[in-house]
Amino acid sequence: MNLSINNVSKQYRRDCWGLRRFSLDIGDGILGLLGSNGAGKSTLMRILATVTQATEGMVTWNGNSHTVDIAKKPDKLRQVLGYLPQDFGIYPNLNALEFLEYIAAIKGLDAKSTRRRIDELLQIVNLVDAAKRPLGSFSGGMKQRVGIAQTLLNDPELLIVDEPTAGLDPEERVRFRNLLADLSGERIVILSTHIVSDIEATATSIAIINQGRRITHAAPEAILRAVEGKVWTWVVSSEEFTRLKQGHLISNTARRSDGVHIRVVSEQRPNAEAELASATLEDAYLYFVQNSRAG
Amino acid sequence: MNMLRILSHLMRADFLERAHRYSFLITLGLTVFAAYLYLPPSSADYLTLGLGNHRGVYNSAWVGGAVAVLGSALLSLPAFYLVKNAIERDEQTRVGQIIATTPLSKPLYALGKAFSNFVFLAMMVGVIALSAGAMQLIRGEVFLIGLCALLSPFVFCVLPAMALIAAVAVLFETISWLRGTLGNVVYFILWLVLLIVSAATMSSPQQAVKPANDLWGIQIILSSMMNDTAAAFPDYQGSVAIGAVTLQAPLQTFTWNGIHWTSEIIFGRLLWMGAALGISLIVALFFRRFDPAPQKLKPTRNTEPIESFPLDNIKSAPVPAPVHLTPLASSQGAFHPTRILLAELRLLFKGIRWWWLIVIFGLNMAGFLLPTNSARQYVLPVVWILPLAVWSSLGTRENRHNTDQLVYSAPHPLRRQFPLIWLAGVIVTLISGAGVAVNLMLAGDGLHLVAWGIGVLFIPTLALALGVWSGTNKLFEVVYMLWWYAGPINRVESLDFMGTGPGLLPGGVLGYGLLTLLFFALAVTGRKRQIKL
Repeated sequence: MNLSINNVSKQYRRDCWGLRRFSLDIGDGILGLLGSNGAGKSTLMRILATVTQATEGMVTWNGNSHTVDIAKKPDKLRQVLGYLPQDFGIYPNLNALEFLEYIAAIKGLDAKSTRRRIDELLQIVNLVDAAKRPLGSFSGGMKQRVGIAQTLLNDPELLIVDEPTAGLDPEERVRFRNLLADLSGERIVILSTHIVSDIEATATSIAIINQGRRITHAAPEAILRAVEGKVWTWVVSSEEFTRLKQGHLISNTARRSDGVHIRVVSEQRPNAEAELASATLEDAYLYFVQNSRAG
Repeated sequence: MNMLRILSHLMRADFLERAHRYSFLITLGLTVFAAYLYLPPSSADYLTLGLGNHRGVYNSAWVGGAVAVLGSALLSLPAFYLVKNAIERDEQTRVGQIIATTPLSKPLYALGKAFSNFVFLAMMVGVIALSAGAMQLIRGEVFLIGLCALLSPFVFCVLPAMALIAAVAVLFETISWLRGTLGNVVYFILWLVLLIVSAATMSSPQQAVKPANDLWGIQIILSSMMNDTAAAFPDYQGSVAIGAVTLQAPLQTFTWNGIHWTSEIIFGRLLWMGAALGISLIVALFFRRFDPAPQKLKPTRNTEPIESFPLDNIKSAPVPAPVHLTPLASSQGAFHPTRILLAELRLLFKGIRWWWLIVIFGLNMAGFLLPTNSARQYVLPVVWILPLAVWSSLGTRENRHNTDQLVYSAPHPLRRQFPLIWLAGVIVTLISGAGVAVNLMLAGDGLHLVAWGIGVLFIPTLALALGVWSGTNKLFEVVYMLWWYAGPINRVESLDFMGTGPGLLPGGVLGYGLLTLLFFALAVTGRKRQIKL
């Protein structure tokens, strides 16, 4: 399976571009799409999910059968698509079971498979006990779990999840990450988030996006290698910390009894006392985004 | 001073939010167009404000007065539906939850919302007034513009009515059972009753006007116009007609110099402004401050605190067995119309109360058992107003509940799902009117049975088309109620889409069949546009 994004742009108003000449080739596995708020992640997700159309460029889907341009034949992709939008609603008078049955019906699932599938999904998202309660009484996290369940109804070949862990408690978040890892067999999963730890735990490749443009696309190891030898830690006083904030890319701080422990991403050793530290994905993300702004 | 600042900011934010929508521009455009229609040229064979075959020369007094009367009578219906979303918007955008945590008091919030509604409506009235001035120049009967004569009817008559509508809209939004379709119906009935009462009390030119009894402010203007017409034309019978009326005799004009605004009239109008203020303050009693489950604090019986969970007793919980998804059959993505139709029907009927179904059943029995003519003329119009809320959800549900991205990313949302949404609406209409249909069938009344069948198709198609294009249930509800009142209730034959009247013609039935096709095409185009956005 392959999803190919070729020079895709999306213009909202005259001077407002959500995406600019974005290209990416995605194969089986979990693609983590990282970017700050307003970077263009949700625009890209909506184009890939056939909810909106690109202004320029083309997206082609090469599934188990044949290659299609998703703008021309969106229904070919929709048959194998599972999509969780960032901001979605539910029908408050239906319960979880009825809502999933409704989505299953419009996705074209047969009755026999649907019931078993919904039972399994309700167990997976831990909503068995609340399955018959009206959705209007659900908390934000519970609604999000219903949203996750509906994406998996048709056993999608392409699973697109936009900020899926927003509103989930830590236990459910871990559960969801494990679920994603289990699912990432012969299918493409696109996980869009600005929560780096979600991607760190699951992604097989990572794309970083900023201001509607692709900054990088590589395996997590390659992305981490790019910042290896550029992450430094040392301890400073509070006064010195205030001064240092101006000129350094600080990726983490912690106030302790001996001062402020800071973590800086820098090509050169920023301070005589600074020691090299092993890079994390968060360091790498900040490094790439900072470099793209500077460039 | 601080209170005024809060009020002005509440009003400003609301106004800007409304003014930045396309619907605002469309509303303004329609308002200007309405002002244009209000003043037909002297060569036209109709009048919009007719006193027999007489009207005033188009000077500022007549133009201001006539447009104010028409504006007050006709704008007072859509005005309510236009502004009945101030609190709903705060709830939907979740700004309400931020507002609820500020020190802003309930009365001040309610006052702010009523005030912002009023400013919005006042702006529309202002646009109508300016358009009226422009129309005076375009018609060119009198070129001198008298600002006071032109604007005073709007200021003293229309604005107090708009203030009351602004406050009533907020009141309806805060009383739970008046928030939805039922509230829309209640306001429509109120508007109609007040208009009929207003018209009924205008029976003679010499009728004494009591400004305090005249909510829409039209009696003050009309009685002055009628008195001056009677003085100028002794043969004038004292009739008055609002809306497009065909002239039965050659048009005769006279000069009307406007109203002498006495302190009694102005005080009477101010009373309505005071009533608006009072209603805005009453709103505070019902306003729940965005609490989704308001409850009164119960007296505590047991004051002993509940012990916290002992941490030292925590045992590792058993790890649940992993759940695996069973692979699906290869038929996934196939078209199962029955399943989709049942799902759509379930969605339509969910949330409906049991008593509603009993009333529908009772009316169906009455439609079946009563004599055919009575069933058709009296039962059918009643039974085909009750599912108003069900119909008005057609085409708007995805937008209202923010499920559009989920629904439109399913396979073939237009070809497979959309016709079944429509079919579900048709089935609801068919079931609710089935008793009358059986009656017509047994009586062998073929033409009325066909008209009934076209009605079954027409109503949900209209709902779907208006819902898809407007994104809100209000447009269909208002249009349908007006159509229903004029056609099946008042027997305006050309508007009788149910075929309830005795003088039904095959051409009329065919016309509604074609109109149904047109609305269906509109609905499909609208949904296609939504999916491709």
